[in-house]
Amino acid sequence: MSQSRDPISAQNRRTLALGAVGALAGLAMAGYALFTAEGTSTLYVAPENVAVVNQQPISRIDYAAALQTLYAKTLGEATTEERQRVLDDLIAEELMVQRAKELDVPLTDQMVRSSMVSAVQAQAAMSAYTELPGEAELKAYFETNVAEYQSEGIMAVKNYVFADASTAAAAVTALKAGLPAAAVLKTYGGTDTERVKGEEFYFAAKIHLGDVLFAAARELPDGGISAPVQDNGHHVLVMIKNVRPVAYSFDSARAKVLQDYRRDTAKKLQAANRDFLHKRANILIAEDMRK
Amino acid sequence: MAESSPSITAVSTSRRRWPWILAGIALLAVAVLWELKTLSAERSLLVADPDTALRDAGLMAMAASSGRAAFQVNCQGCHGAGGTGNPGFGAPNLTDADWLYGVGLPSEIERIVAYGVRSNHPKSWNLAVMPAYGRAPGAGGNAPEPLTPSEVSDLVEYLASLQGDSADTAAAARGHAVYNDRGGCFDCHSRDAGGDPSVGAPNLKDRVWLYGDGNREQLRRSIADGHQGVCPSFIGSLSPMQIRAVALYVSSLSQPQQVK
Repeated sequence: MSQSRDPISAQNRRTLALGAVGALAGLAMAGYALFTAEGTSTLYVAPENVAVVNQQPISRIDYAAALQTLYAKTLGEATTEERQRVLDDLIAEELMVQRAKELDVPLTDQMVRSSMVSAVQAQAAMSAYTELPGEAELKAYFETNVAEYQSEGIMAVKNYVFADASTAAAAVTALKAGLPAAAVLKTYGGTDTERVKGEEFYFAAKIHLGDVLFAAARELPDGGISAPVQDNGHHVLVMIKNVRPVAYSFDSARAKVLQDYRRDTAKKLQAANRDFLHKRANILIAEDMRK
Repeated sequence: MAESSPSITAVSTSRRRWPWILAGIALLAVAVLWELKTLSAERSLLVADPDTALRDAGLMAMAASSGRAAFQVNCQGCHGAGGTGNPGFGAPNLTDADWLYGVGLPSEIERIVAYGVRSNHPKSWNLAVMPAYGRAPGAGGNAPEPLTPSEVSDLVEYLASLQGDSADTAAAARGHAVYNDRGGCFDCHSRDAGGDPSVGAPNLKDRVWLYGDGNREQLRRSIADGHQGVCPSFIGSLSPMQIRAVALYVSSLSQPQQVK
């Protein structure tokens, strides 16, 4: 005779068993997530790391870079001893860094403080370098700053100085009449300052001539002779060669446009980061230092 | 007709449920096994020596598909779909054997993918920039001392002569002197102009140009205006597995014969 079983209690047992299986699966998944999620305390070394020092991972990428720096060898080329030495060095470095944090080294070491400031500034600006702006954005930036995208002008110019305005004016007339410069200088008692030696870029000529003379010089065509210019003496400029700046097209300037765009974006991000830090900080200023 | 008792109904309902429960458990088990298999494969890829992984068909199969997908999203905007680069803005060709940093080992590429070049990440390659020798100091980036226009022209002739192109011999000789003296070019590009992969300074005599096609005007502009190209850091946006996969995929573009 077959033994009869109570179907209700069998169903209850099944319900309990399935519930238990579900609970165990849930626990397993939660445990897995807990021990593998980034930043959680774990006894597990993730496969992308070579070690974990007080929960701080040392990545394989850094390990390979250190191996290359110390021994100029790849992972496959390094001996067991070399690999162990690099691992020991990286662990020792991490321990020292962690100890430095405990000792509040950043509070006292100016070099560390400077490095930390640079690192935070760099971190704040990183997205400016990670994200590639669209063509339309770059073109708009180019058009807004189009004066930045041109070649540097080149000039070769003679700068003569005379004692007073009337001799300078007479020298200009003589030069325009085609007299050789040497004769003009001799006749009117002028001097060649030799401030600009041969061909120079505009920025260099500007430094050598000074702002006033450079402004007069850059307007002269090849072979042009300026009117007398007063600037700590009475100057006459004779332009030998003037290659004016040439505007770059967007396509030819694209690399520089992208570079400048990123630089400006980085500056904005850094300024926003400073504002954010100020806003969330509790800063007390001594009464006598308040504006 | 007699009605069936509640207990008999419960048993038959229960019997109908069993196949579904078993199917569900089986599906769950398959999903778990699949996940474990994937994790195991990812683990194998991550713990492998990246420089020898190219010769492992199993690892490369995974790296190629995952790496290509990540490359298309993150890298091809600059380097192009096939990785052939863009000389318009200094994105290097990744399919040739010419490498700015290192010699093209997957471990070297992996470091660049992770930390970038001049990316503002503290671990990025940031040892040198090409100074702007024809711009006011401070305006174009770290020019040690500007050169004169004629010195720039002489350098262009020297570089042209290094390619075997016809060049003004006297100007090239003067350019060689500028290269080794006032310009300080040798400091990055080395005395023989062969470049220095430890600072990312290109070889100047191999006819492989990062910017433009090596014509004289482009050379003049490179010297006068300088360059400081950027490769972003992806350590925050790609997983370690994706970074490894991209490195292997990029490496495989230039060394297809190595890939099993």
